[in-house]
Amino acid sequence: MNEYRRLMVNGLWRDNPALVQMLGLCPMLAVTQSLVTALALGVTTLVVLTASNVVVSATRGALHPATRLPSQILIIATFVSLADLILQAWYFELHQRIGLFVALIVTNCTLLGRAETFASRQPVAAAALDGLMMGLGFLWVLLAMGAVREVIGRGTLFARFDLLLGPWAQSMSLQINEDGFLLAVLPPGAFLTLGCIIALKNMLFPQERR
Amino acid sequence: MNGPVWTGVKSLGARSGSLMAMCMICGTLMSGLFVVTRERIENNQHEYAMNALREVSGNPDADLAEMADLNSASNRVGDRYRIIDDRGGHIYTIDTNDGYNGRIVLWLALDDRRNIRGIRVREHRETPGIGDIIDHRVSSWLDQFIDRSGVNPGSVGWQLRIDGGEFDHVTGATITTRAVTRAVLRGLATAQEQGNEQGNDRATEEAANE
Repeated sequence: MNEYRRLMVNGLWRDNPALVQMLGLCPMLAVTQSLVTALALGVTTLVVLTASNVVVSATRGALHPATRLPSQILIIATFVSLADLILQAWYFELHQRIGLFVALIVTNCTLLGRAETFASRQPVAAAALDGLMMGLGFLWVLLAMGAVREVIGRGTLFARFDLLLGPWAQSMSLQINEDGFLLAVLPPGAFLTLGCIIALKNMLFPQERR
Repeated sequence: MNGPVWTGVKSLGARSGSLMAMCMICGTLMSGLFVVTRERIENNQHEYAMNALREVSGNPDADLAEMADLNSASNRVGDRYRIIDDRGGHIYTIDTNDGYNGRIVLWLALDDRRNIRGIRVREHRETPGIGDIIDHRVSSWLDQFIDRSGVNPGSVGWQLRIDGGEFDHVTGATITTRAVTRAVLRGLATAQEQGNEQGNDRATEEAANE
């Protein structure tokens, strides 16, 4: 039980892929302009990460050490392609916005990192939990950044959730401010927001600073 | 001697064998889902392109004849779509390189008397917050061209107010708005040339009768 507890704490906080390991920054900075795109890419990454962890762990006995890395990349790339097709088929308009970064999940080092350092040496259940927790750790940072940047940059929150949930979600959009501070949705705003979140974390928990 | 060589061949076989099996499984999965989702994705692409075209035409119920490959919803200049409703006319794809930052691609919808039905920007890289007022999602600046034509206003009027014409410019985005205004006028001229060559639209017939 302690082992599982440790996996949860590591993924969500202590070894958080976005805040501590600083992996997958490219898609993270690009899709956090709004909450809906951050949620969509975060969930896609979570699903792909968990699924690839499970398969990598399940096939770890059958694979020759020399071909382990190419096999892992193959597994991750397959799940990303499947996710990409599913998004195109059922969430087409959303895919128009985040499509480029869905394909880039393959190059998100979090996935290969977890496959190689964890899933390829651990039983399926532990690998699944690790993927889930690392994915959730990535997701909550994406959501925090998406929310902050949308509120500051556009003055809205939950805008365009109909892309994800269907027409009824149009009423979810909140107008918090009349105007936005444009910098927040531009690329530099992504770095500033991430920097502020990391600084806040280091300030509140100085003993964890690396 | 034979021992090590044989072992080498065997392990090579084992290595490539497991990787090949992996490739086949992954490939089958991907092609399977591709076949299942293909029709749906193509429908989505078609519907997305049609909706964008209907929006330009200003009539949400208009039918559009494909005079080009609609699936691509491409930005190729010269692509034309025929609008089928009581106002008729075509949607033209035009572009300009006179903007502030790179090429601007526009869709220009004219009715069969070559009055402007609507204009939308398909592609631009103008400065967010300044030059992007030509984007209809940002501002309705483009709507001032609706119902204008190549002869309304005359050639002097077909300029920005700052240049002595009739159209509103936007402070800070003069270059962008001037580029779009000139591109639209050029598009009207091209449409007239094409109409004269084909001699089959109402405006050309009326001109011939006079």
